[in-house]
Amino acid sequence: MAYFEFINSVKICSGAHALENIVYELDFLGSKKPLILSDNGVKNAGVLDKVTTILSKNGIPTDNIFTDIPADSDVSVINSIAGAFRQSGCDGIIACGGGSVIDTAKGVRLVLSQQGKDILGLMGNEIIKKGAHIPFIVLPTTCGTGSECTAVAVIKNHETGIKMEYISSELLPDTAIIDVRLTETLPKKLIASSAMDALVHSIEAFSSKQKNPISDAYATTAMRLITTNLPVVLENPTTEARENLALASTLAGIAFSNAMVGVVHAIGHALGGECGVPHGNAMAVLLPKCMKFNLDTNRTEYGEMLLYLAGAEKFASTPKDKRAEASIEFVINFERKIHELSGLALTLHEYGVTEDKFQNVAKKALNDGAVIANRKDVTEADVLDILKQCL
Amino acid sequence: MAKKDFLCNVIFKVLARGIVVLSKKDSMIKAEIDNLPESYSVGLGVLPYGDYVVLKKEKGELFVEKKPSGATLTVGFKNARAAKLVMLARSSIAESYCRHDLIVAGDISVAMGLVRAINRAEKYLFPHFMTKRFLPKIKKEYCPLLLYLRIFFTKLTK
Repeated sequence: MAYFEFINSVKICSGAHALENIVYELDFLGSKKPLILSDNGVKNAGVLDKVTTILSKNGIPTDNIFTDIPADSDVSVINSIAGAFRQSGCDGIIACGGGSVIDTAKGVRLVLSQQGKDILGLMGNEIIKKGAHIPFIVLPTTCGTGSECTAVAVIKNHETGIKMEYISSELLPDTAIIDVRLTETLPKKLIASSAMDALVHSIEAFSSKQKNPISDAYATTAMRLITTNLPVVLENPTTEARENLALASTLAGIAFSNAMVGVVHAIGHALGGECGVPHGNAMAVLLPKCMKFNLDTNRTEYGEMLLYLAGAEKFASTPKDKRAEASIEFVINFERKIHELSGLALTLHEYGVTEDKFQNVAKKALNDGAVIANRKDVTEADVLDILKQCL
Repeated sequence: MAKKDFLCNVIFKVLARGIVVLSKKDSMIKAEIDNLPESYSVGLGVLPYGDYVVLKKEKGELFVEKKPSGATLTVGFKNARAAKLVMLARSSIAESYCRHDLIVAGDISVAMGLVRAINRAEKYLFPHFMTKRFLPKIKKEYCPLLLYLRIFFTKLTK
């Protein structure tokens, strides 16, 4: 067997009443005065109140709350929060939000645990040494990023306009609390786009150069949970379907944290940076075209994943040599259904993207770390071709 | 003091010197180097205690540092075996990265440009049959024999 590494040290508390355990988990980790990071959207939707109410009832101070976190995690915001943490006497971090809040919290925790002052000095891949332990609990409020269980953070340097990737097991939180009460106010479109992000995490992890038997187990379970539960959540939501979808996001996060993503994410990150296309939306637009691009190198994996995407009957009734194409066909039809149920747009022009941006997007995509794990080599011409197909 | 690996030492130096020569002779490698800011330095080696070379850009030109110390960006291998697999064209950098053999200290997006430059330099340094499994054929813009002559007989260090 080829050499591989796998890490997921995060304790996952998932399902009914998971949120109530935050008090025990804080105590277990040794935190009595946590710094709470969130954003104004989560605060205004009343989601943060659900957390602070439980904390206050149990005598845990909630006066150290920071909610001015921008849509893209930011270098200067991280550095200033780390400075505020030191002055406040806080002894742990709670992140309640989506990808930006969680990545910001990861950055703050990294600066603190490495006893640094500037997150810019900690850039890189697997370069961070074991640091001081800062208790860190994550409460995801979307069902897509999986960031609560990934050893990755994407942080933007707004001075240069570049999004930087940080990859280190030191970024992994201690505990993730997955409770659907934190996602119940999400609008349909956001549920659809974040779940599509999770689906892409699982598909790219299952077909990447870095895939391994353990990441495959997480990826395939995530695929099955997303394709069976997302339509239910959008059409006629049940608690069980919403719990399954939230869990799928976490599982897909664990999968891609250990197997990487590929060209869909490379182009998606660039589209976000250059044209402001929201990440999950970009994933939905790009996925079918990128799967077609990767078909010749990923045929085996795409064929195998039909079982998890479409179910046993479809898999058994499809000839072996047609399963890869059937997986792509399934994804196309699945996205159409999600579009009908949520209104999620499936072309770039609906997000205001114009062809004159493509050259810059292609250049940025090739400099994205995700492209290295894509089985098929990607050139600038390939990216331009994919983008044109998505317009 | 850790014991250095003679072969690693040689191949890192050959690759680094090869990139310096090709930064003037190959348009794609030149473009990657042009993208680096002035005074930017790139370290390549076995971390933390193994062989290590540093390429530095000054006044728009690349050179190999005589006495390498730190670098703005370091791409390192976790052990000498992993380095030799890539540097002797038995594995690609992408494969090395996916095996967790590779460490990057610095901006990963800049490292991607360096990866492309190394891949392209390897196409000059090794015959096609050695690299064809993981690197597509390229149209060479400089003679590999002349490249080797310049690597060994030109002053490329400062």
